Amino acid sequence: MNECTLRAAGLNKSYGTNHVLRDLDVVLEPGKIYGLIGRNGAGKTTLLGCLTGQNTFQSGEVTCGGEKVWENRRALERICFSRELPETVMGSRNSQKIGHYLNAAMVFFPNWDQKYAEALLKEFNLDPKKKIYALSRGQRSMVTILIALASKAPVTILDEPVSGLDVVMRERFYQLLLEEFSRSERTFVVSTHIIEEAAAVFEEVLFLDRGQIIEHAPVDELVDQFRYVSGLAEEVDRACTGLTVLSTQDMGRRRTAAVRGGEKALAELSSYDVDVAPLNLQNVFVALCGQEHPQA
Amino acid sequence: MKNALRFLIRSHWPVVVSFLIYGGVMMAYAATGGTRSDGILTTYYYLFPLVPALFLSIFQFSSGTAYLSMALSMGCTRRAYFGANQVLMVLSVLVNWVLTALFLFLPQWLGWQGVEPFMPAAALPLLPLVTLAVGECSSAAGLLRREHAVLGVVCYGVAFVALMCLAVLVQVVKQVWLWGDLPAILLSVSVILGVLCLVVEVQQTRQAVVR
Amino acid sequence: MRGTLNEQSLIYQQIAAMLEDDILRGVYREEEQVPSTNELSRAYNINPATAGKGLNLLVGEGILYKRRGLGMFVAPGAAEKVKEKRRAAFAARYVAPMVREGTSLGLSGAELLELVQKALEEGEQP
Repeated sequence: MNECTLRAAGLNKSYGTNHVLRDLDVVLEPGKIYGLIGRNGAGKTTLLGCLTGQNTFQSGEVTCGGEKVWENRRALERICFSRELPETVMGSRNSQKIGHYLNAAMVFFPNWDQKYAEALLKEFNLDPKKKIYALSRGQRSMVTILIALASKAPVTILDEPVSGLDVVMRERFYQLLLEEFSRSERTFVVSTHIIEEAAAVFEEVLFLDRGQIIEHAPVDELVDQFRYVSGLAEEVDRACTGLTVLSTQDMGRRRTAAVRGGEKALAELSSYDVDVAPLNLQNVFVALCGQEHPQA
Repeated sequence: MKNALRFLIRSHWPVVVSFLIYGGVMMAYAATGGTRSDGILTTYYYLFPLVPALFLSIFQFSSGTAYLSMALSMGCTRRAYFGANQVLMVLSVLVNWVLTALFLFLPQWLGWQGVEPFMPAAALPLLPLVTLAVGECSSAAGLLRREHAVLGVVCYGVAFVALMCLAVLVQVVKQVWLWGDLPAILLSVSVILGVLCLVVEVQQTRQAVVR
Repeated sequence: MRGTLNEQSLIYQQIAAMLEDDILRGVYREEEQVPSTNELSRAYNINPATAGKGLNLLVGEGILYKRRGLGMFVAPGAAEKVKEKRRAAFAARYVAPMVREGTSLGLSGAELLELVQKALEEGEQP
């Protein structure tokens, strides 16, 4: 029975003068797969660390099922935050064995499924006796994924689980994730910046930009609010009155605008001589968050 | 704290086992008369009282970096980790203390000829407290290192000071008439350092984040 | 495999359309069970909730019905309902765009009708 609603209210986190999370509110209801999307440096890992009691924060409250998460064993036992294993620890290489991580997971996660872990070890072709520094980036990701899945924690969070994985393994990951999700009532939160291939797997998506969650909605509801409108520049401008224009691109007299609006407003586009096309989730993210420069 | 204990005991027991092996080797060496001559291992024999402190120190320093992060990343609370580490540290100090006493008196009980005790029996009661102090200082050093590399090294220097107190203490305690208050001073110094480092450990663990 | 899903419309709508096509083709007959959300999720690597949304869309239109504890089944007369639904959308989906495109190309009403007539004749030839 998954009753753990993970909630943050008024979360503020700064690293020195860098105010990473600003008055951030988020509610993650149980039993869904969420995608957390943000640019590099937007603070995804920081946010997830704060939500799971692994990171400190200046102000705000984080609760799971109504109970505070910080230093609370009962709440923490329901959460698994699986992040990328460090290649080096304090300057020297990480000489922990995979097996050591698995044993630790077995100790700390009350719902740990050893059989499932062993099956995944076999499928991923991982040797528990191997040391972390001897693994490739993809293999380290696979260990992260293994721990997350086998933890059977009611709330499971994966931070960039597919980094370093080739396309075949990425597809396999989404498959495994969906299989496990279908079997259980677990909540999954996956942070990624490889958006489009994961979009179909998410039920709801959260965009983290400039310290706040700027969008939190079911994927199709969000995507359905956007269109590309293109044609003769003046015609496009006429068609777009009453819609929010996010960006425009001109090629000679041809203008393409990315717009956002409600169902009715978008329906009116058909009465103009313009081409209307949908945006996919990746396009939406870039339209909303791709404006300024970049990676911090 | 149960889970934290289960997690850390895997790493703590080598401290005891290594000492056991060391003791075994030294006893064998003594039994075969090695300590009578100035053999290679003789110096190591006389380092006996320092060895548990040394092993503990090395372990505590390195575990502060790797194991705390691992435990935290799997949902262990900082309180539980701190508590478990303290409990296991005290336990290993006590166990090694008993072993030290054992190894100290073994040659006598077995009637081995000409084996000098590696330290005066009078030093025995002082061992656990000072060894623990070395452990606390090393643990604090390991934790500090995660945030400030330089402070970590400085703190490890403090641990070294405590270790030296132990070394000298073991030598001078017998000749109290000669050294006067020195043993008491050395004892107090190491205990104070240990307590200060304990405070550092508490403070560092409280705000620890996964690295 | 993602296979037949594209980016042109929302996924749950594509799932619904696919099932409608299959009903018309006889892949699923009346009173037969259609794939569950989990099966669809596995087949297309999509979230089961999305698959469920597509199925519920068809339930809402009377094309499928739910049997408690068992799953979703093709309702009696489903094929007819699908055809009706598509007939209703036919004008907006095919005819209006054709007329718009034709007019913008400068074709007259009579020319458009001639093209339609021609296409009908060609379609009848085996």
